Amino acid sequence: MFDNVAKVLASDYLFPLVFSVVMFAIWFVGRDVTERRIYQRATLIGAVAIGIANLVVDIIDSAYDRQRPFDELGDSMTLIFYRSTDPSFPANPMAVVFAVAMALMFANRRLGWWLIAVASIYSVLRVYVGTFYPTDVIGGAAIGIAAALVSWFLFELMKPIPEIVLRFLRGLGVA
Amino acid sequence: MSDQIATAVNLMVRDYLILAFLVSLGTLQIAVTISGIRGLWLLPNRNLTRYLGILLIVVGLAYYIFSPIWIDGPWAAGSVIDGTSENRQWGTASLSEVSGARNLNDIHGGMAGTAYAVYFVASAVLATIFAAIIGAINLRLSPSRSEGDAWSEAITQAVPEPTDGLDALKTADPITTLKSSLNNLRQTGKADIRNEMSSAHRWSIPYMIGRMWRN
Repeated sequence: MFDNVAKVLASDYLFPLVFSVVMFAIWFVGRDVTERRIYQRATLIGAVAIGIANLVVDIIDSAYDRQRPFDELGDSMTLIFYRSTDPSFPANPMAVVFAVAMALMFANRRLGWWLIAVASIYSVLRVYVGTFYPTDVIGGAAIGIAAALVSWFLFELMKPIPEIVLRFLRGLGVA
Repeated sequence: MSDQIATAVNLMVRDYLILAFLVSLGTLQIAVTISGIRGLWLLPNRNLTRYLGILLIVVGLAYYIFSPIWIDGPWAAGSVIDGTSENRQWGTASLSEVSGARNLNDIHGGMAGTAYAVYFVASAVLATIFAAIIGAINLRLSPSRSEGDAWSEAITQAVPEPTDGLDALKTADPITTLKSSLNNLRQTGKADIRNEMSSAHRWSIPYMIGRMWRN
């Protein structure tokens, strides 16, 4: 029974979709211009953080090809997921979800902590189904969190360009 | 085999678009009822709109997870039994297989991470446009706030009549909002940008470029 739940929760679609819709909803959820601007800025920081995290993961993947646990451990473990063919370290899905969680923490700390908790559950489940080692998900999480911090720093460095972009989007009626 | 993979990809993309559209639309409805952006509500009443949002999310997830029971596909029945994604079976999945049926490797008909991201963005944009169209029709049909919805009255009375952006959608339809937003951008855009520039840090790149340009 738990295996069946794990197969759904550890899938490629469910938790990434949850994080995506949270980012999407945050864009609309502020009750006034000031609050909405903080949330929309966090959404943009998250989007850039996802790009940075993916870039870093790709660079590490091309330099270091760590075998998946099911390839190394063979019959001594039970795989209940498909056999991924890309390198195991660092875990790309973890980098993405932790980048989003950290980016949204800049706007709403409580939401950020909730998302970190959900991302941690996702990480544990990915290890449980047999696609990653614990160090893969820890590496992915660290990259995601670092990517969000770098993204936030870039936004500070580029100030007021993000604010001008948001002002322009407000002029188009979408922010 | 390659035909099967192509069919599998089409099937996965179609179903994921349905899932992402329904979940995005549902989440959007919950978000816009929190912020009071009435121009994006699918129903005139706040509570009903929120319940509809929850229903859309549940329906989207239920469809995506359970549809392999009645739709023929390359469901991952084999991969979860013997740990190989190459040993897949076409056909419907049984109830015991349904939890892992969507877990397909991208080289065997599943979707890559970037594909999930691209299709999600497309679905979210589509959901917003759909909500804007229905919201516009709702506002035309019942321009006054729905009776008994004290919350809607409170949130729209608490703030002055907004003229642009999503705030304008609290009381106006998307076309009126777009016109007023563009007008506002034309009138105050330059001043707003100047204000933003003056509030920039001394070490911000645009500020430094601006100073170099002036010198």
